[in-house]
Amino acid sequence: MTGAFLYLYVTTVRNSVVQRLQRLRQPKYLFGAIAGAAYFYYFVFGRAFRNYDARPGAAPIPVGGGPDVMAWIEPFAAPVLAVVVLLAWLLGNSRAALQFTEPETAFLFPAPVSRRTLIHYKLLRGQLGILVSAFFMTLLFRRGSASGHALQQAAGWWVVFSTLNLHFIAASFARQQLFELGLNPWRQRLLVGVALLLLAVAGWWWLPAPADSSSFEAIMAYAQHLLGAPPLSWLLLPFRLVVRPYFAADAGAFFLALGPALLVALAHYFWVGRADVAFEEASLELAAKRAKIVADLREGRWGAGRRAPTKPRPEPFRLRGRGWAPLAFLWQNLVALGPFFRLRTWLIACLAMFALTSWLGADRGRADYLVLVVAFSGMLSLAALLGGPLFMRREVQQTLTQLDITKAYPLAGWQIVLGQLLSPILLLTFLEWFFLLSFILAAGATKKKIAFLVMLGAGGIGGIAFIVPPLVGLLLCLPYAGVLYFPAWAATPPNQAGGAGIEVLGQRLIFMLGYLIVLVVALLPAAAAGGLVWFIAQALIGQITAFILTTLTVSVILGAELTGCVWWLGGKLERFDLSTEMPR
Amino acid sequence: MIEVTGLTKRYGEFTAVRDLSFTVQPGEVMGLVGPNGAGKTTTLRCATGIIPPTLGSVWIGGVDLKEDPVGAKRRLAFMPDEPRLFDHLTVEQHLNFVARLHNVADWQSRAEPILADLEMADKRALLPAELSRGMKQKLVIACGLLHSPSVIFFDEPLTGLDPGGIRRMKETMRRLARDGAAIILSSHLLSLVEEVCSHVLILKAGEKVADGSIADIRARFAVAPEASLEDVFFRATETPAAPPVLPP
Repeated sequence: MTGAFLYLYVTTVRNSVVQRLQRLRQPKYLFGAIAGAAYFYYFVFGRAFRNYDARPGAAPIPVGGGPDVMAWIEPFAAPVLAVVVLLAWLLGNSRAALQFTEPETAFLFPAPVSRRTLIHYKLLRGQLGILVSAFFMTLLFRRGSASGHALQQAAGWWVVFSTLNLHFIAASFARQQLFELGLNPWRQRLLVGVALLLLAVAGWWWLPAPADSSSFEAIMAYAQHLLGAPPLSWLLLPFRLVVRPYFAADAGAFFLALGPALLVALAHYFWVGRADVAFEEASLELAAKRAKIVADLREGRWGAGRRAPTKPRPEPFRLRGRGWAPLAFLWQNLVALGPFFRLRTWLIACLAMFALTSWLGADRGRADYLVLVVAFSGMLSLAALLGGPLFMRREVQQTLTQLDITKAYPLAGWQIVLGQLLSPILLLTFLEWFFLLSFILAAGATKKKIAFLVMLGAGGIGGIAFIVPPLVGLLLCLPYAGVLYFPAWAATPPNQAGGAGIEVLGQRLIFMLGYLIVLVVALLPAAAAGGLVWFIAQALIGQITAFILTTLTVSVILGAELTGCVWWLGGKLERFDLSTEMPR
Repeated sequence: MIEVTGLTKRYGEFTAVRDLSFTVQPGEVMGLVGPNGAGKTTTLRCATGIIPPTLGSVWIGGVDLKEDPVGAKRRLAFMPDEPRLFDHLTVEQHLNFVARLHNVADWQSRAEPILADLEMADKRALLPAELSRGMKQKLVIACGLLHSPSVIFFDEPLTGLDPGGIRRMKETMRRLARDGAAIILSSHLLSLVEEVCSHVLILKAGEKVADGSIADIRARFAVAPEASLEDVFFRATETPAAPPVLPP
């Protein structure tokens, strides 16, 4: 049987590699692979293995955490691992389910294979993922670290992940066994919760209070002392044994720590191997669910894997049978988004922000926090403006998968494009307005003495708010155009293996670069005209009137660009031949 | 009326449909049959304006699909084989949405008899997740019929329907034809085609092999007068009927 599993495994890996290499013949994958490889070389591998500042003439100092930092972190790693394990017991399902793919369940479950052999197969199969995770975690956490050898740290991660994997499986088996004994999931959670509560009460009663809590360093020193002394040190011993190889400062310490850690993993292995639990039914369900998630993601459906709704959602407004057709798309999308995404939610959020900024501004001690609100509002506003349309890219990609339905509607192309863009425009606009309002409110509460400047700022931001809808619409047109003009780049073909990989990462990087370039080009006319109007008008008719004129100019140009874009994309949609992208 | 002239569709070097012409008059039901890869789906997609033909023209109810796609689409309904519905819209909301797309002001009064006829009157508040595969298919049909189309395209309409649903579906197609609709029915179920269709168009490798009334086609290809459409189909497409595979 091992031979069959080995054959399946080796053949799968080989075919996957061959398939990936073969698809490099297509330019979109070849360029993607080059961009992805360059990214990895310069930004991941290059920095990960560089312990010291490599600039010419620079002193050989550690640019990240050295052995002292690692030693400082080590005591806190065991409690973190303990929390992860406890969460598995608290939040885990009561049914024992091993992650198999649908073909694995179809071929292996009816095959003459014992349950124990299936578990072994699953454990071995899981090792590939664990090794890859260990490799990437080493890269990620080693960036700049000057402690220990890379291989040593990778082995440390492998021990942690392997033990966790075994523990999760064993815990799910144990939960199922408890369930069969009549302890339903909520009772199990209650039991764990009560045990935790008792421990917390005992700790509060028994453990000494901190002598000095005036500084962060003092609190950390107190926590380190507590974790290193009984009874917590005893309770956390198994967890400390598991993480110790990762934190070993040299090879000698590593090998000394490895033995006990492997013993913990081995104990888990026997626990899993000896459990005789029926996992097949739950595994079948899990496999089907995972297959649906993968299929949904490949088709660009956001929120993949979520259960289909069974309760109707309220309508945002009454949709009459006759009228402007694009409104139907907005209505449908708002129904799908649910009652949270309504005007009243936005108004409540604005009122809450008003209350918060007023409360913060009312006291000098709290007023410092207003600076944080201003900074966050500004940053989030910019992030939403630049990242929002990209975030909605998956939604836009659905255009491709639903095109055979939408193209049968008796609507002009521009009506379909506008209809599909309306709800993201509306959502992003209101989000932007909220951030801008927060900015004004917080800034106003901070600098009450210079009310005039605040008023001027508010006026400026009000002007920006006026520009937001066409600007957001224009930005959303870019991913839409990407889907229509470069469908092969925007969508992963549904039946093609390997929706991920270095080449797909590279494709996304290229798409992002293209997005930024087009963004600059699209904004250039409005910015140039706005600048020109401001320059002339403020010299002739004063700043306030010039400001209004500039805002109007920019809005009109952006609005005209948006109208043109929707018209142009509508034409493209009408001529778009999705037959080249869809199975015939 | 559906009028297709010289329809050709190429995907790069590959020609899926070559110089296809046919007409479906009001009241006629034309069966579109052919082996896998014959070009049936491509023909349906081109005829409904979902994909543009490489060459040729399609007229729907006297309107050129290329010149006035919106006007042509107002007259047609396309029922795909796979019901793809909006997760968050109820049965009634789907009809409301489609009504707005087709500008049907009195959609509620129109929907009543359609839902009743499809035995879905009590399902109007349900979401797709609560509907069976057959019910979803019926909802697609209800949405398609709401604007009283004069041209209807069915792509494997019986998939997922129970025996009762199949019988009602056949009756619905016959009734729509009686009321003057021009219908194209694409299906691999030759018995359905034989039962419902007045005409048949047999496609093979993107080309028309035969086109005409079932009696004409039978007369042209069948060796015996009592031959089934299945016999005629295999003779027309020159695909020998494979004997059933029996276990050893």
